[in-house]
Formats: sequence, C-alpha cells, structure tokens
Amino acid sequence: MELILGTLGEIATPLALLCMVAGTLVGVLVGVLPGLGSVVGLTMVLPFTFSMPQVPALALMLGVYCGSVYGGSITAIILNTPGTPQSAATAMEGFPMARRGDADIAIGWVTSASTLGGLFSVLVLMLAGSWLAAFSLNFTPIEYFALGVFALTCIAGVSAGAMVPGLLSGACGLLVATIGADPVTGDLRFTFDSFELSAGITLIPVIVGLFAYSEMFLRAARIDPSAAREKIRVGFRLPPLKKWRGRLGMLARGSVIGCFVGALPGTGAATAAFIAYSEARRTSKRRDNFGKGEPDGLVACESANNAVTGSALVPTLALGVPGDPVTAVMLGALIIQGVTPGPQLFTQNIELVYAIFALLIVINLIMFATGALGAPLFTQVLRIPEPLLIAMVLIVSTLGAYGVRGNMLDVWIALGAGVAGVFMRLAGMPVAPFVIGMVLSPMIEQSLRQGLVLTRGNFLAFFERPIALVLFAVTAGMLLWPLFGRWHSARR
Amino acid sequence: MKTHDTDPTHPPGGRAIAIGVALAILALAALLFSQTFAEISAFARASQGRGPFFYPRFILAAVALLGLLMVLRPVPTDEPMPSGAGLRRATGLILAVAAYALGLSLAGFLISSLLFACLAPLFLGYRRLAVTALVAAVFCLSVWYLFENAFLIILPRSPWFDGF
Repeated sequence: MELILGTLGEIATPLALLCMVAGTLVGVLVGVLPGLGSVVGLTMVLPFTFSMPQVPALALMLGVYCGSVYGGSITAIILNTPGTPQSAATAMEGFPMARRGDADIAIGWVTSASTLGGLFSVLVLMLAGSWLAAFSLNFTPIEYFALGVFALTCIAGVSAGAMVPGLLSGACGLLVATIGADPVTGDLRFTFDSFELSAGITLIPVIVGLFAYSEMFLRAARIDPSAAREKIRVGFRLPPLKKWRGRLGMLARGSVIGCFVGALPGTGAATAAFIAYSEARRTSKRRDNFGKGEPDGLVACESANNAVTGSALVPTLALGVPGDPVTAVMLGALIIQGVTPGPQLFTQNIELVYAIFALLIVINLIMFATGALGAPLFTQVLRIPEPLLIAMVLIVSTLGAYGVRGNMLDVWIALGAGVAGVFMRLAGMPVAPFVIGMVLSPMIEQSLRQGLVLTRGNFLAFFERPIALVLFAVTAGMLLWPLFGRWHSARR
Repeated sequence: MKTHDTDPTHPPGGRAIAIGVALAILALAALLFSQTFAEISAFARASQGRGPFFYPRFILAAVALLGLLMVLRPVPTDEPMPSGAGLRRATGLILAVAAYALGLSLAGFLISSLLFACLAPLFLGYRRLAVTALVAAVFCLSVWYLFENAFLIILPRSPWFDGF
C-alpha cells in the first residue's frame, strides 16, 4: 500500500504531469505527420530527459511513444495516408468511413480501441511481464520464421475478393525488401551496381508513395470543381455502448495479439496490427463489410498496435533487450537515468517499475483526451478545398520520405511507389499486402536462414520445435479451413 | 461523389491496365531472376543458410506464378479509370511532383515548396490566388520551422541564401 501511494505521489508532481501531457501531444503530432514515426519523436525529446529526474523523464518518453502510435491513425482515417507503418491497417477501414462522412465516429472508434488496448497491455505488463519475458526467450530463429509465415496469412486475409492480385502485391513487397545487402552474408542483391541501392529500399518512402502520393494523384483525377461540397461531419463521436457489445471479443483478441507480438523482440506494432486485422476479417460476423468502413477492423488493429506499447517494454525492462529501434532509444534513456534493465529491476527497483505502470495508465487516458479534444481540429482538414489539401499533403509526405535518411533517393523512391500505387489501384491490386510483405520479409528471411544454419541445412528439423510446430499447424489450418468449408458445403 | 472526368463507357478498373501491370511485374521478375546468377562470396557459397539468392528465388517463383495467373484472369475493380481532363490533371500532378523533387535539390526546400504550394492548386483548378498564396506561405514556413528547429531534420538548402 505504501508502495502504491508512493508511486502515485511521484507521478502526481507538476513536472511529471507536464511531461506526460507534453510527451503525448508531441507524440500525436509526430505520428500524424507521415513518415516521421516514433523513433524521430523519441530522439527529439531524449536530450530533454538528461537533466530531469527519472519519473518525469520516463513520462516524457512514454508519452511520445504512446502518442505517436495513436497519432498515425488520424491521417490514416482522414487522408488515407498512414502516419506510421502500423496505421496502414487502420487506413483500410478508417478511410472508407471518413469518405462516407463518418470521420468523427471513426476517430471515436480508433481512440477508444487504442486506449483500451494500451490499458490492457499495462495490465499484462503488471501481471505477466516476467513470465512473458521468460517465454520470449524460447523464441529462436525457427519460431520467428514460423511466426512470420503465420503473419503472411494476413496477406490472404486482406486480399479477399482480389486474392491473386493481393497475393501478387504481397509477393512483390517480399521481393522489394530483399534489395540491398543480404542480412546473413552481406552480399549485395539487385543493386545493379548502384551505391545508393546497396542500403536497400526503406519502408517509409514506399508507404508514403503507395498511400499518400497515389491517393493524391487519384484525387486530382477525380476533382470536380462544379460539384457541391458534401456535408462532412467533423469532430469526435464516441461509439454508443450497444455498438461495443458485439465487438468486445474483437477488442480482446486484438489486444492479446498486440501483447504477444509486442513482447517478442524484432516484431513491432505493424506486424501486430496486420495479424489482428486479418484475424478480425476471418472471424467477424460482419466480414462482408470489411474494406467498406467496418468498425470491427478498426477495433482489432488499433487495440493491437497500442497493446504493443506496454508489452514491447517487457523484453526491454525484464531482459535489457530492446525489441525494436523505439525501445532501443528508451533503453538508452533508462541507462542514462541510472536504471539497469534486467531481471533484477523487478526486485531491486520495484518503485520504478510501479511508476512505469502508473505512467502508462495515465498516458493512455491523456491520449484519449487528446483524441477527443483534438479531433474537431484534425477533422477540419477535411473542409480544406481539395486542391490546397492535395498540395499540402504532397509537401508533408515528401518531407516524410526525405526525413528518413536525409537522402533525395527516398523522395524518388516515394514518387516511383506513388506511380506504381496508381497503376496497382487501377489494376485492382490492393496496396496493403505490399506493405505487409515489406514489413515481414526481413524477419522471415533472416530467421529462415539462421534457422537453417542452426539445423545444419535440415528444414524438416523446423517441425521438431513445439512452438514452431503449433504455429505451422495453425497457419495450415487457417489456409485450409476455408477450402474445407467450401468442399463440405458443396457435398451437402 | 459524381465526377465528370471518369470514363463511363469502359468497364471500371480496366482489364488492360491489370494485364499491363502483371506483364510489367513479370518482366521485372525475369530481370531480377537473371541477377540471381551473379557471383557470390565464398562465405555465402559455404553457408548452410543457402546463400543470398535462396530466398529471393522462392519469391520470384511465386511472383512469376501469380503474375501469370493475373494475366490469364484479371480481376475487375471498382476504381474508375481517369480519362480526359482527370487524366491530364493526374499526369500533370505527377510531373509537378517530379519537378518539385528536382527543385528540392536545386533550389532548396522553402523556395521549391512555396512554388509548388502556389502552382499546384492553380493547376488543379483552384482560382483564389490570394488565398492560395497566403496558405502556401503560412504552411511552408510553418513546416520549415517545425522540421528544422523542432525536429532538427535539416532540410535541403538553397544555394543562394544562408538561412534556408
């Protein structure tokens, strides 16, 4: 009891509260701008933490982290331009909702699901952090490969209705990610002797091109100056409680997926969001509405991507192993603050651990308030005349592509991806699978090749690992079940 | 939303575009496949992880198969085909963005963005010049300030001025 009161006392100081609010606002702003992402936000505030006490410093970092994961969804809904890679799944349902005039309720769904997913992951962190960390140690490259193959079923999930084009788009994404240096041997692949291509093609310029540029190019083709402006609902509207009744299972599943995937080093919120979206599409009673603005999809992917924020701290705090570049920056900040992550943190520095739990709870609530209060401002963007909006989005997106490495090649890659995105859309090829392929390809290839080294080239040995076997079996089941169902119906 | 610049006589989406895209992907896959016979390092040859082109070849095989399926059975889409003025606007905008990207290297972010933010809306049919100029100035300066001073992302500089 004294510990809890002490923790509340630490986070209730003016500086800590200011850091929570400021961090969340900065995070949302960074997330909203396409191409920047959580790492930019964290590195931006990192120097401010050097002179702060531990708790306010953590408050600032965690606020930016949670805010940026949520902020990317706003532009995904309003402009079909995901601000962060993990929001690409949100665009698939959020943008159709905004297009039919329901931007306010789309933001309501996204804000609610993100907050609840984030709070769920704090609960998991509190109750099962050490256990999850120990479990994640069982994941060798073979298990990561099995997880990657399982995650590839997302491509089939989001391609329903256009299976061959969707699979082709996903395969192209898998292929594009192989350009550059081989992750195991360092040999250069598909670079055509170009020095610039030896570093590979990064994800952000491709997302900016496929989503932002191609959307703006197609909007330019559809502009009709003589048409009356449609009535667009701006603001924030909380979904009624009765609408949640059929979606609590979706929320729980998305949150569990996010917690599980987030606890594994090297996976990330984008993987979690796409797996959750695909699972929602497979299990939802309203699966025919997917792609047309179905809240089930929003609830699943948003709860998953925000559930990652708490569970991604599991390997960081419990093992001292950062799961991704974001947690690597936070690990650096913790070390600068004199905190030594690792198993002993939970015994020797329990006050700090409790403070992190409390901070995450409050930050998720601040994030909800930011969304609710900021949505009327965000959605006013929809009222800007389309030609002006197109120009502004193209400028910010170009900066987002440039800002990744400060390299003009990324801008040209984004433009190329934009033109490709236009043709893909006109050809009926969904662009989301391409992004899924690019996200998963490095993990799948590296884990496959490392696994083959471990098993001395014997692929069959992959099936001797219990966790991997379960994942392969689940993958096979998910792929074969629809075929079995159709065969069974045809027999009847 | 009713539009005037989409072609109502052709089937939406365009089978020809779908087949063209699939053929382009097949051609690219063939080119990349030819690259998989490039010389690799001795370490890679000895690696039981199967070398740098092991995984890409699987993916290329999948791309080839799926591309062929898409050529033989293109899937119709609801996306309306731009035509007429719509097609001209889309093409013009793509060229404008390419020119903007060139301008970033030659004239720096602020000058090229101001020009793009003023000219692109005019090209797209927005004729309120004063509003366009004001919005362009406020927007570009704000973004420049935010990125340079808050995010500390150094933007392309103009060769003629020191500050930007």
